[in-house]
This record gives sequence, C-alpha cells and structure tokens, in this order.
Amino acid sequence: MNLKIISDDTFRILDKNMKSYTDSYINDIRTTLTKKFNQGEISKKDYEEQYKLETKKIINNRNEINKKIYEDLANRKYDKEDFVNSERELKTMGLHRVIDLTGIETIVKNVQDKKKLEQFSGQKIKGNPDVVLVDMYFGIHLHNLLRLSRSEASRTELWNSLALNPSIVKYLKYRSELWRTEPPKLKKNYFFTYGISDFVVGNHLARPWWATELSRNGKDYTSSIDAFLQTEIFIMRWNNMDLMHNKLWALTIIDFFSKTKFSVAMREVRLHFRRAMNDYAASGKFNIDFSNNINIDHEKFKEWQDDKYDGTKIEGPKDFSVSQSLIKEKSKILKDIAKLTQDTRGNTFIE
Amino acid sequence: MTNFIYKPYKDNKKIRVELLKVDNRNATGSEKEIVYGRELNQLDFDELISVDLRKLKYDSIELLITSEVETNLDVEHAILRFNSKWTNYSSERQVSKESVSDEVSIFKTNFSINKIDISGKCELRIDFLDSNNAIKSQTKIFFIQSDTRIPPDLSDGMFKFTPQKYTKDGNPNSELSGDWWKEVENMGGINELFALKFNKPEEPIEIVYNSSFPGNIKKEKGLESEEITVNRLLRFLMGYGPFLIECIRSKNKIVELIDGDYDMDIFSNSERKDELVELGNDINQKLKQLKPFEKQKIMAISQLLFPDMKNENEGSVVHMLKIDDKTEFENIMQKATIAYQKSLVKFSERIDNDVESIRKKIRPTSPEVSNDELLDNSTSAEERE
Repeated sequence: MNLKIISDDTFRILDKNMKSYTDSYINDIRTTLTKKFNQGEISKKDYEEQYKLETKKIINNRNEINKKIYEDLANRKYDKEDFVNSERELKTMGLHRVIDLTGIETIVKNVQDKKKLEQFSGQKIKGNPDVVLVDMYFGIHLHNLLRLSRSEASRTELWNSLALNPSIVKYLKYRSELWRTEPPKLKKNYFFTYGISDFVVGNHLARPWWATELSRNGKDYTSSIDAFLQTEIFIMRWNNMDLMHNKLWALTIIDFFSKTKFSVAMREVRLHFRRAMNDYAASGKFNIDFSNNINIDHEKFKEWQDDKYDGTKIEGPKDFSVSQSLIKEKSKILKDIAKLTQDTRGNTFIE
Repeated sequence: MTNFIYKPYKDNKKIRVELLKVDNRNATGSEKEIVYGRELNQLDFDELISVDLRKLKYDSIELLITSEVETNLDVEHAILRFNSKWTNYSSERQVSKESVSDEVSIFKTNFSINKIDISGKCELRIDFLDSNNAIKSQTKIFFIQSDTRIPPDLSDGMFKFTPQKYTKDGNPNSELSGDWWKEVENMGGINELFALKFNKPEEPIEIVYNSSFPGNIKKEKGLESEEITVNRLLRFLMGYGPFLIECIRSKNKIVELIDGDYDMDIFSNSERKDELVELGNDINQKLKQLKPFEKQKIMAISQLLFPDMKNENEGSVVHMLKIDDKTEFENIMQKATIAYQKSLVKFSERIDNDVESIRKKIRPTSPEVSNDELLDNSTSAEERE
C-alpha cells in the first residue's frame, strides 16, 4: 500500500469542508456564566441549571461535528483524478519516491496498547497513557516506517495525503480525544498542515515525526525518546528554535535536560532556559563550542530509505553519529551556563 | 527627538557563488545557464543575488563561494552559514583566507548541498569575525531557490476570487447582472481587469475578475512557475483595495457593536488605561455575537495592524477605533499597506525572486538595469526643490 499524493484541487475541497465543520462549533459560554455567577448577576440555582444545559448543548454539538469530520475523512471515496498522477508534477514537489505504508495499521493498533507503550518508553503507565508517550511511540515508528528525507517531510502535500489514510484517521481520533472528558473542539491543523509551524507545533502527524528527526542521533532513537520525555513544552517550544537545526547542540541539550539534577522545577527549566541559550547562541563563543558542521553520509541515508520497515527492529539511518563523549563534554558547557542562570523567582538553575 | 540608527556592522559585503559540480562531476555550460538564468559569459557574478535550482536535474551540487572584506577590519576568520527554513536544516563551514592585499582580504570555500536536505528558498551568508569571535561584518544574503512551492492563495482566506466573462464576442455579457455589474457597465469597465461585489458583511468581499481580459488570472494547475508568479501579482494587485476596505469595515462594525460609545482620549491618556482595558474586553465579548468569518476577519486585521498590542491587557481589537482619528487614519493606512504585503499575502515569501527572474526572461541579453534606472523619475521632491 503506497502513499498517493492528493491533488491541490481535491485538497481545497477537503479543506473547505473541514472549515465549514469547525466554523459550526457553537461558542462555549460557560466561562461567562461562571463570571456572571461570581459577580452575583445570577443565582446559584440558575447558574447550575444553565451550566448543565450549556454543557449538554456543547457536548451534543461537538459529538455531531466531530463524527462528521471523522466520517468524512474515513469514508470519502476518491478516484484517480483526486491524486497527482503526473510523474513530472510529483518530481516538482520532490514527492516521486514510492512511500510504502505497509505496517501503518499495526502501528496505530500498537500505539493504543498500554503494554507496548510501557515496553517502548520504559515508563510505567497508570490510567490513560500520557500524550507524550503516545507521541513518542507514534512519532518514532512513523519516522521508521515512512523513511522520509527532510525535503519530503517539508511538503504539506505529503502530510495532507497521509491524513486521509483510514488507519491514520483512527489514530487522529484517538490522539485528539485522549485525556478529554468532553469531546474536543477539533482544529483544522490537527489533521492538515498549512506551513512550517504546523510541522513542529500544530499537527498530530508531522509534529511527532519532526520531533524524532530533530532529536535522533543517526540510527539511534534513544535521544528521541529522551526528547519526548521532556514533555510537550520541549517538543513544541524548543523544536521551534533555529538552534535545534544544530545537531550537536540539539543532542547536547536533550542529554543535559535528561541527566542533570536541577535545583528548580524541571518545568521552569524547560520554560525559561531558552532565553539563556539564545543569549549564548548570539555570543562568539557558541560558534566555537558548537560548530554546526556534522558531515552527513547521504549514501547511507539512501540505503536506509531502500530498506523495508520492520516493527521489531526500530533503527534509524546510519547517516551520522555524534559520540557520547563529545555530547558529555559539551553538556558541561551548558551546566556552567545553568549555574549562572536564574528562574523567574531568582533561584539559580543549578546550585 | 533625535532618531538614532543602530548599525553595529555592515551586512552588505560581496558574496560570489559559482556552480562547480553537479552530482560530483563538473557542471556543464547549459547547467550553469539554467542555474544563473543566463549565459555565463554575460554574467557579472557580483551582481548575482540568487541561483535557481528548480529546473536543474541533480541530487547534489558543489558551489564555490568567494567573499571579500576590507583588510583594515582585522578579520581573522569567517563562517559560511547555510539555512533551509522549510527543512529545519542548517549547516556551517569555516572559510579560509585565500589572499590578503592592503585593501581587501579574500575568503574562499567549496560548499556542497544535497537535494534531500533542502526545500523552498534557502539562504547563504558569510560572517566575518575578529580574533575574539566578534562579528566585524557580513555579506549580503544570497538566495538559493531549491524547489517550487505553491502556497494557498487568498481565495481561501479574506477574499473570494470569482472569474466572469465580462464580454462575449466583444459585447457586454448579457448573462451578468447585479449591482456590481451595473457599476461595471455604468463606469465603462467591461474591458477592465476586475470589479468588487459586496455580499453580506459576514461574507468575504468577492473580487470578480474579468476572464475575457487577455492574460488575466488562470487556473494554476500545470502552469510554469513564472506564470504562477503573474497570477500571484494580479491577485495581490486586486486584493490591496479590498483589504483597505475591510480595515474600514471592521472599524465600522466595532463602532456599531458599542453603539459609538467611546472617547478617543483613552488612547492617548495613560491615566485612562483601565477604561481602555474595559472597552477592549467589552468589544471582545461583543465580537462573539458575530458570524465566524466576520469575527475572525476583525481579529486578524487588528492583529495585523497592531501586532504589539496583542499582549497588552486591552488587546489589539480596540485600537481599530483609532482609524476614526484624522492623524491616526493616515498612519494606520501606512501600516495597512505594509501589513498587507508582509503578513497577509506574504509577498516576499510567495514571490521569492521570481519578479527578477521574469525580468531576466523578458530581457535575456540586455545588460542589467539597476533599480534606480527602472524608476520613471528617481528624483525625490527634496532634491527637486
């Protein structure tokens, strides 16, 4: 089963349909009700009655719209004309390589299996699995299945075509509803990509793929696992930084966060250490410490692309490798900076 | 108050980029012609600001990058920086000093790029550093157009573009009707480019373009990239007026929502900040009554015009009311003109260097004409006086 790239005209129709669905969500006025009650404008009884009624209305509305969205994506019939059939056009987009999707069904099944997630992440799961672990499992396996180059992964057409696969629609439903007590208000960019920010922030398919790509150390996905464990704050905010394009620095910051004992809450570090890193990157010293010139073996990468996905052996391309000793050495530099950095309350990151 | 221009170093040093190899063999003359956009012997490398890889068949290329800097700046070393934004890919190389004279120091390096790492418009630049690694100077940014991207056009956003044949066999099309068409006929515009159709306020302005007009907007499927650029330019031209209209309509809607109950003084009097915040909250609350398109349109326009106010307690929307002030009106229209290009239609991102490429196609053999020479009258009002 190979991925077919959807034509621009068909995508426009899908996008318009999706927009008409998301536009028909009713406004959630419950915050206004609470405000009115707190200000004494309505009685407790009225507030509770109206709140209950409003909740029912919202749930019904969202159930109805979400059902339509999922069904529309999963059941829509496509014919040949809905896809790009011209080799020339596919080459123009850089999407002419055959992308085999065999195995996607198993990945979608396994990602919903708590035992598989525990085994893969090494984390104990109580209740629903954390979205971080779901993204980790899905992102790394998707990376291994699709075997995309960065150039291919930079095409919105690729991700928008992938979103139409029935197994992927099932995954998107699962991912969007995870941890939700009420049906979620779905956003267009959960399903489709429109620009760069959707790749690393908004989209449920592209984001975990790019998080994996930006954090892998050649064939080794261990650093990607560590990156996902740094929670969505790291995945969404740090991956947005140009600094993450520097492989040596990216691997070092992941290692530094994973192995260092900070004297302030980890959340504070993830939120505020970026500023210190930006200042450091602007200094002349950064150019020397983290020279961004890792050689990539493109032949090795192509060999990996030609190999088939094997769910029992998850290994990335052997296109480069940064030694653990170098990462350790560079981590010390970041440690020295952290010793001089304070959080918003004036506490030093490392005492 | 005096204006200070903070310019720590110059970023306009020469950068010369030559294609050396394609897929590890020497590049042929015709490959160079494709990449540079014209024959090699007519090319002045120092004037070249970009290369175009879109029509070149390749997996990898090797470039020779040369740059020069004044010797008296005491530059010790240089770093070549390459960035491909779309693929989150960047790379650096130390550039060695090739030669030094009393006036200039020349830096030279080879640099390879692999197709699978890049996409869209990529950038190359050289930083010149002293012995303390402080930047002393930079080259101009050199662009590498690596592949074609067709971003979504305006028709899915703020405006609706509709084609209509204004004429049939040279006569006004009798099948057309409505207020917009009456105006086209009354104003004698049947052979013009486009007209505006105003539907309900909660719907986008319809830009009805004349498909009888030769060369007007065409369906983009299968078009060459230069033709897509012409389409884009036409759309940008047609969208500018409606955008300004939408700025005014948004302000009018806000005034209507609050029954005209506001005082312009709250914007300039810092002691009345609380009132401004209260009015901002009131407007934001009332916007919820509107249909999704109109609400989103007002919020988007206010954020385009007042991006710095987004994080203020009162938000951006309330500042739209300033359009009613005579002096502010002109200032805001200046903002709107830039915001339209920079943030709404993303002119430089979508057009890239294609305008220049089209010019080269129109005038393939004549010498380069500088931008100043292209102006009808480059003399400013001050100079004339």
